[in-house]
Amino acid sequence: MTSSAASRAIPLSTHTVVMLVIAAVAGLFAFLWPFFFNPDAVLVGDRSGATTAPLVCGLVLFLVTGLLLVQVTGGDLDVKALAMLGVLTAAGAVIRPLGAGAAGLETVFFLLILAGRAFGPGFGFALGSLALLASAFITAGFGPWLPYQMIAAGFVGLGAGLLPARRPNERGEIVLLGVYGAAVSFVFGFLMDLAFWPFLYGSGNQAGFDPTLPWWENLHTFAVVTAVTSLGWNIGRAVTTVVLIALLGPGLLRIFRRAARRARWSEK
Amino acid sequence: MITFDDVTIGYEGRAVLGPISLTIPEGDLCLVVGRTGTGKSTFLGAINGLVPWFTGAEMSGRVSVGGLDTRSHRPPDLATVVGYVAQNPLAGFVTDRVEDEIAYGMEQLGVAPTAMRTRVEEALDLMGIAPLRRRALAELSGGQQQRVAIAAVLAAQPRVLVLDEPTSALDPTAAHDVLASIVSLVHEAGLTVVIAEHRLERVMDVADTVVWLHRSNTDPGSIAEIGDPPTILTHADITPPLAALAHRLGWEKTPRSVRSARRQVARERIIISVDEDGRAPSSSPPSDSQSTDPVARMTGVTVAYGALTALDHIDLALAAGTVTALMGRNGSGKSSLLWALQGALASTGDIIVDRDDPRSVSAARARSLVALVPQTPADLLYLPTVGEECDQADRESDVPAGTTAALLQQLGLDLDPAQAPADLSEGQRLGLVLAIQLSSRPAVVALDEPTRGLDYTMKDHLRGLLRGLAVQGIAVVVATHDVEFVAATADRVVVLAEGEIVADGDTRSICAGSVTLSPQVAKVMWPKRVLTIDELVVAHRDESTREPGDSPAEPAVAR
Amino acid sequence: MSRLLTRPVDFARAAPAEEAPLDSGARPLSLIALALRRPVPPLVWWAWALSGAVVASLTTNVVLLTLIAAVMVATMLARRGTGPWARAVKAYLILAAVIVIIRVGLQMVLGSLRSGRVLFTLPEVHLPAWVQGIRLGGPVTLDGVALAFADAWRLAVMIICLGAANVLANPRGTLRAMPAVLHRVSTALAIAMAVAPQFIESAARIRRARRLRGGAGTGWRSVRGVLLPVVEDAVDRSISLAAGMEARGYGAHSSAGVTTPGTRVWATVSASTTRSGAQSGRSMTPVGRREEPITGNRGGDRSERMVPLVLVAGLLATIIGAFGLLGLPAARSLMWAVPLLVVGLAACFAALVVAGHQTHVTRYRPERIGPRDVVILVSALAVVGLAVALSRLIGGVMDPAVTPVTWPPFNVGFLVVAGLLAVPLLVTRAPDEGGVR
Repeated sequence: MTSSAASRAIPLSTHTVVMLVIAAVAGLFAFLWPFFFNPDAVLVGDRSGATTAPLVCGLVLFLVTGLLLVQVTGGDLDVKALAMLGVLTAAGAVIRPLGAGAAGLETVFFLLILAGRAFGPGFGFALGSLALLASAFITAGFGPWLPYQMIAAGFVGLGAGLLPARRPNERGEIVLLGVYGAAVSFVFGFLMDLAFWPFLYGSGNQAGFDPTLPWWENLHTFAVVTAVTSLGWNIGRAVTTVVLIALLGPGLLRIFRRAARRARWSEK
Repeated sequence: MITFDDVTIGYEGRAVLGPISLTIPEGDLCLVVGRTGTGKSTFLGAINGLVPWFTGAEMSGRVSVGGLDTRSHRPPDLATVVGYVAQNPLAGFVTDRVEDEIAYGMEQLGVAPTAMRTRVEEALDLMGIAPLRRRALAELSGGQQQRVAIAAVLAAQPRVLVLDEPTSALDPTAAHDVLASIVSLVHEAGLTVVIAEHRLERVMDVADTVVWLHRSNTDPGSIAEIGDPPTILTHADITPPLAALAHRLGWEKTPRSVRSARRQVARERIIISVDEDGRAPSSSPPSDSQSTDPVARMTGVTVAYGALTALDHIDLALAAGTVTALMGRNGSGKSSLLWALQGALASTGDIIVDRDDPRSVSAARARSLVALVPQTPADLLYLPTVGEECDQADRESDVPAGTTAALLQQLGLDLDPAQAPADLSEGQRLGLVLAIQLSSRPAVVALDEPTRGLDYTMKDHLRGLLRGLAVQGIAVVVATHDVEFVAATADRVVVLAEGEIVADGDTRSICAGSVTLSPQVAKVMWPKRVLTIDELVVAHRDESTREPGDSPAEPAVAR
Repeated sequence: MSRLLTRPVDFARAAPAEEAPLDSGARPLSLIALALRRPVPPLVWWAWALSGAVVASLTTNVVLLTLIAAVMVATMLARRGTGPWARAVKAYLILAAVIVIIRVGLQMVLGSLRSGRVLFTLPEVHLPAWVQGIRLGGPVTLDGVALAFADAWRLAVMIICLGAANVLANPRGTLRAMPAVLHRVSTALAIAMAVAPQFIESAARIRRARRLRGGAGTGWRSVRGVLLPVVEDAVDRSISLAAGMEARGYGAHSSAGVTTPGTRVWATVSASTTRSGAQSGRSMTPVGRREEPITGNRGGDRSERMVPLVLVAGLLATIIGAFGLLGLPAARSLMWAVPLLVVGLAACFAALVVAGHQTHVTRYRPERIGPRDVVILVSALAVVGLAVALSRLIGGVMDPAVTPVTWPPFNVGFLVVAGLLAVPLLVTRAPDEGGVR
C-alpha cells in the first residue's frame, strides 16, 4: 500500500480549488439564507418572501454546482476516473432509495465518504453531487431541493478526501471516517432543515420564520423546531452512516484502493 | 497491415510478451492462440495502443497498424483504424440502447450528425441487428449483445477489427452466428480481423493465419509464431480436437475442418471395427461404475418465474459415482434445474437428496447435500484473501481448520493464502470455489458452465477432477454447452429443451448420433460411433495390427 | 421504418434518414398528425411547467391556483409515458398535500393570527421562555386557516408544476439535451443510468448465491457478503468500460472539427488532446526507445486559457448579485445587484459556450425544436406575461386581502391563463409505446 491514504483520481487545478472555495461560501450563504434575508429586498413579492428565496438560492446553487462539475470533470479527467465515477454514481443512485422509506436511514453517505477517502477530494465532490443528480433522474426528483442536496453531498465527499492522510492502522482510519460521517450527518440535516424551514413551516405561526425578527431570535425558534422534529432523523442518519462505515469500510477501501492502484491514480 | 517490430511488453518489470516481430497481412482473418497466461489479451491490446497507453505497461519496440505507430497515436486516435471488442460486451457498454451505443463512438469522434445517421444504419445492417435498434441492451441475448458491440466499433469505419474471445460466454448457436458475422466481414467487407479464441474448433477452418503465443526457454516473455493453421496447430501446445486427432493418427498437418478430416480418413481407409451397439471393444464401458441406487431424485419438479415456466415436471435421478451432463440451449432450464436441486430456487414437486429435501433443511445442511458452483464462481467470494476464504469455508462446513486449504492442494492448486481472490485467473477462481464447496463433503456436486474461459489443458485438468470426484462416490452434474468436454467427461447426458427433458441416456448414445451434440471426432468418424480420441487410437491400432498393409500413404479409395 | 429494414446493405445511396417516419404505424398520417405525435423535447416540458410555477408564485388567489393545478394534473395524466418516472404523479400529489396539511396544522396549533371568526378552540398551553415562550393551541379562526391555506396551496401548486415537468420530461432526453460543455457529466450519468439496473440484478444474483455457502450470517453481516462482491464487480466493470470507451474514441478531439462522410480525416492532435496524452504518457514508464507523444504547448489556445478565469469571475458576480437581491433593500439592490447578476450570468454563459466549442463531440439524432414545440414555448411565455400584467392591473384580485376573509374574487383573465397553460393538451398526443425514445 502506498503511504498516502488518498490517491487523486481527479486532480484539482488551482482554478478548481478557487471555484470550490467560492462555491463553499456561496453554498453556506444559500443554506443560511434565512439569516441574511432582508424583508425589503427586491425579490420579496409577498409578506415573507419565504416561497421565492429558496428558489432563487436554489437556482444560484444549481448554477454553482453545474459550473463546479464542469470544472472538476473538465481538463485532465482520466477516462478510468470517468468510468469509475459513472459506475459508483449508479451504485449511489441505486442504494439511496433503500433508505428513503425508513426514518432516518441514510444509505448513501458512507459510499461518498469511503470513495472520497480512497479517490481524493475531487472525485468525492463529483461523486456526491452526481449520485444525487442520478438519483433524481431515476426517481423523478427534480426540484428546488436538488441543488442543495447536490452541493451538500458533494462537500461531504470532498471533505472525506481532505481528512488527514496519515493513518496509523485500519481501525484508526475507520474510527476517523466514522466520526466524520456522524458529524456531517448532523450538519447536513441541520443545514437542509434550515434552508427549507421557512419554506415548509411558512411564517404565519410561532414555529415559522419571521423575517422581521433579528437573526438570533429566528435561530432560537429554529433550534427548538429542529430539536423537536428532526433530531431523531439526524441521529438515524448518523447511526446508519457510522454502522455502514464500520461494517463495509475496510472491505470497500480495500477494493477502491486496489482499483486506484490498477488505474495508477496513486502516482499522480 | 499490422506490424510488430521487436516488441517487448512487461508489467512492473515482469516480461509478458516478446520479443515479437511479425506482420499480419491485410484482409486476413488471423487467429491468436495460446494457453491461458501467455499474453493473448496483451497482444491484442497492443494492436490498438491500449497497451501500453491504457494499461500502463512497459513496452519497447514498435507496433504499427495501417501505417500508424501506436507510440505516437493513442487508442482514441486509432479508433478509426482499429475496432477493439472486449470479452464481455455488457461490461463495455456506455449507454443502454442499441442505437445510442452504436452512435457513441462516433459522437466522441465528432462525426457530423448526418453522416452519423447513415453510418449507424450501415452498422446495423452489417451485423443484421436493425430490428433491435430501439431495444435496451440489457435485455438482449449474449449473442445479440456481442453483435451490437461489434457494430458499435464498426461504425467508426475501422479497417482492422480486434476481438478478444468474442464467443467465450455464448452458447454454440449464438457463437456460430457471431462468428459467421465476423467471417462475412472478412470476406464481404474486406476487413482485417484479429481474433483470440479458446475453442478453436469453431474458427479454425476460416482462419488465414494463426499467431501462436508460447513461452520459450530463452526469452523472458511469450514469443510468437505465425503461419497457416494446419502447420502451426500440428505442433502447438494448443490442441483442438482435430489437432489431437492428427497427432494420434500421425498426420503431418492438422485438417482445417471436419470435412477435410473426413476426406483424409476416407483416403487413408481407416476402418475401425466396432461392436454391435457402436462401442469399440477395448473401451471401458463407463456404465460399469454406475450404481443403481440414486443419491438424488427429482420427481415432477416445476419451476416458474411469473408466466414463464423454466422447468416443467422434471423427473431425474442421479446415481452416486457418475458424471451427468445437462445440455440444451440457453434458457432451456439447465441452470434452473441445478438451482432447484440445491434447494435455493423455489420449486414444486419432490426433491430428495440423501433422504432429505434440500428445500426444507437449513442452508448449511442443504450445502452438504448439494454443493453448487454457480456460473460466476466469484459471486461466492467476498473476503480479502484466499486464506480467509478457506478459513471461512471451514467454519461454514463445520470441519477441522485447514480442510479447505488441503482440498485446494488436492485439486492441484497451490495458491498463496495471502493472495486476493480478485487477482486469481478464471481457472484458479473456479478451483478455489470448488474447494470451498467440497469442504462440506456433499453428496452431489453441481457445476454450472464450468468450462467457460478455460483452455484445453485446464479443461483436461477439470475433467480429471470431476472423474476423481465420481470415483469417490459423489454424484457430479454439470450444465454445459461444451460437447467436447461432455464427450470426454460424462457418463450420461440429459438434454433439456423448454424446461423438459427431451433426451436422456449414456453419452455415446446421445452424442455420437447427434449433429449438434457430437464432438468433432465423432463427426469425423461418423457413422462409426466413436466418442473420444483415446478410443479412436486404440481402434486404429487394432485395425493397423490386423491389417498391417493398410498404410496411410495409400491413395484415396472409395469405401 | 420497414423501408429502412429492407433496404439493401449499400447505404450510401439511401435517402436521408430524416425523411423516415418516426413511428412504425402502417397507415399514412397527415404531416400535422405526424408533427403532433413527435415526442415533446424535455426542455420544452420544463419551460411549460415552470411557467405554471411562476404564475402560481405570483398569486394567492385560490381559484387561480386551483385552475393551474387542475390543468397540470390533467396534462400529466393524459400525456405521461410508460417510463418509471411517469409513475411519480402520486408522489408529487402526496407531497403537495403534506405541505398543505403541515402548514394548516401548524397554524391551528401554533398560529399567531387569531383574529376573525372563531371556528373552534384548542386547549391552550404556555411553554417556558427558553423555548421562545411559544403558546400552543388557543382559538382557531377562519382568517388564520384561510391565510395558511392560501399560502400553502400556492406552494403545493408550485410543487405540482414541478411534478408535471418530472413526470412528462423523459430523463433520457434531458440527458441528451445537455450542452456540450457538460459532456463528461452527461457521460457519467449515462453510464450510471445504464449500469444501475445491472447493479440491482447482480445484487439479486449474489444474494441468491450466498445460500450456496450456507447463507453464513444474516442481517447486517449479510449486507457485507452481498455488497462487497457487487462493488468489486462494479469496479472491475468500470475498468473494462474505460478501456472500451478509450478504444472507441473517447477523448479523440479532432481539430478539424467534424469528419465528413466518405473522408477519414486523421485527427491532427489538438492542444486539448495532447494534454491528456501527455498525462497518460507521464504515468507510463517506457523501457527502451519510445517516441515521445506529440507535445503541443499546453493551453496554447488563448480562449481556452481564459475560460476558467472568466468562469470564476462570472460565478462570483452571479452569486454576489443574487444574494444582493435577497439581502439588500430594494433600492440599493436594483442599483448594483441586478447589473452584477446580469454581467455574471453573461460571463458564465460565454465561458461555457467557449468551453463547449472545445469539446469536439457531436450528438446522434439531436432533439429538434419543431413548430409545435415553439407553439408551446410561446404560450408558456404568454402565460407568464399575462400573469405579470394581471398582478399589475388587478393586484387585489391576484392577491386578495385575507383579513377579514372573503370568497376569492374571480376574473376572466384566469380562464385565459388556464387556457394558455392547457395548450400542450391540444398540440400533443399521448405517447405510444413504440415511438418513445
